[in-house]
Amino acid sequence: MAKLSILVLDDEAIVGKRIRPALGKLGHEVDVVASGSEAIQRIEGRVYDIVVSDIRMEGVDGMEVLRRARARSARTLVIMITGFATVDAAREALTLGAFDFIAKPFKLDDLRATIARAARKLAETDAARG
Amino acid sequence: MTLFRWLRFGKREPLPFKLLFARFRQLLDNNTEVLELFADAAEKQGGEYVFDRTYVTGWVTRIFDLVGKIVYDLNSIANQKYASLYALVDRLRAEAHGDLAGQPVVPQADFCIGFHQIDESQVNLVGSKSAHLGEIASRLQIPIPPGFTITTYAYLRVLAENKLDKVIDRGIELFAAGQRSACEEVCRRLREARLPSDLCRAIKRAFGQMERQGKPLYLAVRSSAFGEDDDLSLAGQYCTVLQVKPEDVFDAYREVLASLYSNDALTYRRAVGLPLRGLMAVACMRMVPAEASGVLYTLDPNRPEGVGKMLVGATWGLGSRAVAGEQSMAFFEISRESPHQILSYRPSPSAEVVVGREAGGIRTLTSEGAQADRRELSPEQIQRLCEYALRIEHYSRQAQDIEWARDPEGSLYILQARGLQVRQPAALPTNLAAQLGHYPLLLDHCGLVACRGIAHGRVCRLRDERELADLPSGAVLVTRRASPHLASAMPRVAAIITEVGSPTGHMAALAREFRIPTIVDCGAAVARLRPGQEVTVDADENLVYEGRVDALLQYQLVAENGFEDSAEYRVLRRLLRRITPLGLIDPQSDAFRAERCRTAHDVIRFAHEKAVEEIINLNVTSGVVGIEGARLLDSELPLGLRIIDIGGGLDPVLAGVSPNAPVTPQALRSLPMCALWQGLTTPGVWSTRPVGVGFRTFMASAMSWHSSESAGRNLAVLSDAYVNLSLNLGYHYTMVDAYVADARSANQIYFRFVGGASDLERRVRRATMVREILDRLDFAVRQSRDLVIANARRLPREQTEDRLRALGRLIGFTRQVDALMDSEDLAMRYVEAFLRGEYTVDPDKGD
Repeated sequence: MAKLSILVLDDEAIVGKRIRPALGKLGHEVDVVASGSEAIQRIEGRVYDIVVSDIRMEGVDGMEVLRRARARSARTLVIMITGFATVDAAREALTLGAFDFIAKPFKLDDLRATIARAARKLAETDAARG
Repeated sequence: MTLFRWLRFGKREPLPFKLLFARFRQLLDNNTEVLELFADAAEKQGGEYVFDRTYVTGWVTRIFDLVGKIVYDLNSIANQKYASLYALVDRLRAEAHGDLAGQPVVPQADFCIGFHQIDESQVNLVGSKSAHLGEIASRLQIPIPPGFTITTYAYLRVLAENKLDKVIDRGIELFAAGQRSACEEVCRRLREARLPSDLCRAIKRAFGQMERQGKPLYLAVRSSAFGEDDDLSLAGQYCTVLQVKPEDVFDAYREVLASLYSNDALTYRRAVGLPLRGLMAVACMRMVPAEASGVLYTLDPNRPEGVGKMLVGATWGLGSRAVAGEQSMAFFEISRESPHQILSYRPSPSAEVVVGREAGGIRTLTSEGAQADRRELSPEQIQRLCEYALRIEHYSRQAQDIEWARDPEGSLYILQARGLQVRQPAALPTNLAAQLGHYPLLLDHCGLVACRGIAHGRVCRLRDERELADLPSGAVLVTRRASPHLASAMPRVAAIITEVGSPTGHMAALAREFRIPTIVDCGAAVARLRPGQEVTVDADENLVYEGRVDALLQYQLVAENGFEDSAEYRVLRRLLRRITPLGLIDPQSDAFRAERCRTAHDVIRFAHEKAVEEIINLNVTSGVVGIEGARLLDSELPLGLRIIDIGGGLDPVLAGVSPNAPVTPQALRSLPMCALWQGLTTPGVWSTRPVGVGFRTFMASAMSWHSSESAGRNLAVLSDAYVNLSLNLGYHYTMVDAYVADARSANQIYFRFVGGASDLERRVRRATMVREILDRLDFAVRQSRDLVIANARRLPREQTEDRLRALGRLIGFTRQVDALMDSEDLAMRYVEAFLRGEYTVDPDKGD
């Protein structure tokens, strides 16, 4: 798998703390932030390959981050994490262009597999664009 | 008397049977769900999952909802006999929620607890430092000096006795308002506090026990505050008093208590976000008459990329000034790899030696070069010290900062251990993924991860569990079975790999307790691991590399992956240790009483047992036959078994509508009962002819079921997924409680076997045979004299049914061999025969 730039956003610090080394070990470059506004700053600053974001947070929520990330670059794939996996939230996020969903608590392997699928899609997109 | 009257007052009319059984079934379902939740959290603890505070809060809330319902259902079945459990559950719930909120609830407890009785679940009572020390001693079996901790409960009593609560509130208010030395008054009052007389007695008693261990006694009296050492501990916030004579211990104790409200301590607590109101336990540890002491870092904190080296600082005499940085030390650089080579040694430029004074206290001498030709530690002592240190590091999954001391006899003691802060994120290997590609993979996702983590060592293949004692420290243990017997070696092994086994099994749970990276069920692939071969086990990724993968090992020690030390993980671990330990094991013992319940697990175990007992007694006392729903099972086996169906256990058509008519085995629909029945009726297992030829044999089989008294006690309570089977077969009493469904998480078997009417020696021999068979069938088994208890949990449906069939066969088989327990040899031969499938025994042919 190619080296990817990944932004991880969750207001529960433990989530970023677990994800960073798990993805870092695969060789990816991982930034971790704990608030939506900080995430948006980072997104404005650079284009990420993948954004992994919690869906419900205080202040700027995951839906807003999803919108901003997709607006910044349509190539960026957004994976949503949620503690309350409701059908409605899932439907809305997917309509807004989220790549996929993961419900907390999740296995690191599930996330890795989703990241791998996202990586394949990125490679296909890039190949199609030549 | 009052209680008795209250109970009578509280009694109500017994429930109608229909409602009673509905409550019973509800109790069973809730019991199953709680066990499922226990298992779920234990699994989360293994490190495979990412969870957050929401999960932990939801988990606790759900558990206590269910436990509350279980207690309610039990009491409605048992006519409020166990009403005292309501208050207990409320207290346990409050304690758990206190943990969640980071506000420790201090339970009523002993004033003093010996180090060896301490584990992490008691952290609210003994503080983090003592809890960690207790774990090192009892779990890792590493020597620490003898001692005890004066609990936070004692501290609260001191506050109450001296009416200090308001003084403290006022002091904190002033401090928060920015007034320095706001708490001077609190410190003074604590220094002068009157200690309750029962507390003084408890301390003297604890002392007395240490004095009996010999030699004039001096103590190190150290703070062990709640929250201290938990995270980025700024050590030394609170006071330590060294070389304390027994008569001065009360003053030293008060001195340590007073340091809780020093200006420094308050500033520190505010800085790290701990509540300003502190909670102090005090550790009293025998002073090691140290000839040398010092510190050990399991990694060079300034050059963590050099994972090959440990640093040992050493000084002659006591280490107090050296540890505080007031005195220079000698330095050893030592290889991390066993055998630990001394790579370099630099003698101490200082000639100062700190020693204890006979009159108490310490003083500094100049050593006049008397020790110039000796080193502080011999190579052998270095070996031992490094081995202890790495064991602690493995357990903590983090580089360690350890204080040690050596006495003149050469014994080494660990005085304290905490995480070593390696603040060099830049030192992380940048191209780990690329580096890993250079190492040959021996096992690539061959098995199932039972406990995550990374470890390195040499392969040691275990053929026989008797070899466990000789296992070299730091070995990668490769075995056929994931047997719980491996527990004895767990403090010493680096990693475990097994051919068969389950990540939800008993050994896997133990591995997680000891935090040993473990991969189970690797099958024939384990043959690729050659004895003596150096390997690196990456149980995070389910991989085993050939050789020592330094980049990975370094990654484990310094990377930000010490999730075990994150707040959520610690809270979950603490809650698990508070909620899930099972102390009430043997229902036959006197200790099996409501007031002996300590944990939520105890409560549900107790409630389950008592509810079943109520249901069984109900039928015995009422003469069974008259009761609606208790029906005789009409079969070839002359069991006289009565059946109560509490929902879906019998086929309504085949069983017919007449409530008192016998039913045939064909009508059984209960999954676990059907499996048991298949086992019981396996050809040869329940031979209806007298077995063997001896008179005793004949009598044994004749007595086994024709006793009319026992007939009423053979009872099965069934539902579609559940059975509780009680069999009294004249010679022994057997109970099987099992739940079987398609989803494995709820599946469980509980089996109990206890011997009856023969001499103890035979009963024990019989129990040993049963234990041996169950052990070989991969049950988690415990034996206490003639009592055997076995469990199997969370196995897939087919495997659960297989084990139930085996239990059915075993029940029949033990009945046959009941009186034939003349020697150990014979008993072991029965074990082999049973496992070969030869159920019809003929002892005369065997001899």
